[in-house]
Amino acid sequence: MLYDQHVDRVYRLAFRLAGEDDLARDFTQETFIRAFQRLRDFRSDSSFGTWIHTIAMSVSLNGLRKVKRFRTRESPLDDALTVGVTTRRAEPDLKERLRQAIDALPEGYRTVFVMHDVEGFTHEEIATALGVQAGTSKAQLFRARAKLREALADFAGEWVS
Amino acid sequence: MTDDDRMDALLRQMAAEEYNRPPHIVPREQMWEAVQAGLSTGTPGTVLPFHRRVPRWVYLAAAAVALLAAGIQLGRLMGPSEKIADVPESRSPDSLGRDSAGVLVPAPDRQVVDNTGRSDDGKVRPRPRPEPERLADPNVATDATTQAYSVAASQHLTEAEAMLTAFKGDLSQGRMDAQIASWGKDLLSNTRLLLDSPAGRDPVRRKLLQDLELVLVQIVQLSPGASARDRDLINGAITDDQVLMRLRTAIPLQKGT
Repeated sequence: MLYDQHVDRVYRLAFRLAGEDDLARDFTQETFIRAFQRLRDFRSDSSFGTWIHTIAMSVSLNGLRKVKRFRTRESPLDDALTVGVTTRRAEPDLKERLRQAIDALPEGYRTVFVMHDVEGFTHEEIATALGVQAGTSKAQLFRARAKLREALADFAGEWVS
Repeated sequence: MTDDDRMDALLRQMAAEEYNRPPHIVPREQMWEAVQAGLSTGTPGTVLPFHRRVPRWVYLAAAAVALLAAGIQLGRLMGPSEKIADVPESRSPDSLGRDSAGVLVPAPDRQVVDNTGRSDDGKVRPRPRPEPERLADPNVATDATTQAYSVAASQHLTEAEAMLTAFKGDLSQGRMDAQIASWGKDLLSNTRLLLDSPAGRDPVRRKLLQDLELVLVQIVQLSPGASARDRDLINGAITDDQVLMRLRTAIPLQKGT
């Protein structure tokens, strides 16, 4: 069954992007509803997995933008936190620093980083899902990693030693 | 391998292990039930690639125009209006039965014009009332009205979906912002307007609006210091009635979403 075959990966990706179970469930459900409604439009020249991840990314990113718009309006100072601004003294926990640094990445960088480095999508899959060129995906991943290195530079000595 | 490469590898490994790590057990069954419910009540939708977007202000402007048009149209249909009958300019005879040019004018038919209100036998009869204006039947909506209503309803449902999504996000973090209640009040009054409109005859949408109204009432009445149980009750109302899912499936797909 298509649902059983793909739901785990869609949910995992939605959770990685949303960070909340409720939102991840909502995005996953909406993804499959839209996919089943549009099943007749699916062309077999691409895999169903690729197609459904295209829908999942569209649903998840749109949903997150809505939530972010509201939360930004609610507390605009939250967004003032940018990569590299936090200090080690303020956030001694490395894992927490990493989470903050990833969250603070621009949307495109973060999406590609999560899909490629965290969930293991290929650049071709990412390019199809996001409607961009594979080269764009590679470039965004390169910049995302550079931003993360910059944000966590004060830990670099410990890590690479 | 350079230091950057080593650091990238460590970051990758740590991110995969720690960043928004999903639970081991995926709630497949619960989500499948929601998907089935959504499919049974849903409307066909289209998903476009996310890079094909129109700026948000275009939607807002279009929605404002549509709402204005819907309001005007509904107002024309429902509001009382007085139609002033066109009185043809005619020559009225003077007291001697002459018109302004001095020509004798035959007496008008008494049945048609009787300014005295008396009949031939001298009895006073009630002055005939002017024929009431034929008002538009508010229960009959024209195609244009239905379309305008649909546009206004869709915009409203879109905003309600955004609000409930934000509300659920707040719930999961155990907080409740005052702006949510303010937002909910606006949506609540618009929901009632849409429910009261004679153009809203679609039973599925009507039921959805009624369920939405119930949820909004609860959200608006929720005080900032409300207990977790109160919040859970509202969350239950949203989840049990599939309000959010039905909203999402009821929203016709807009370009760029």
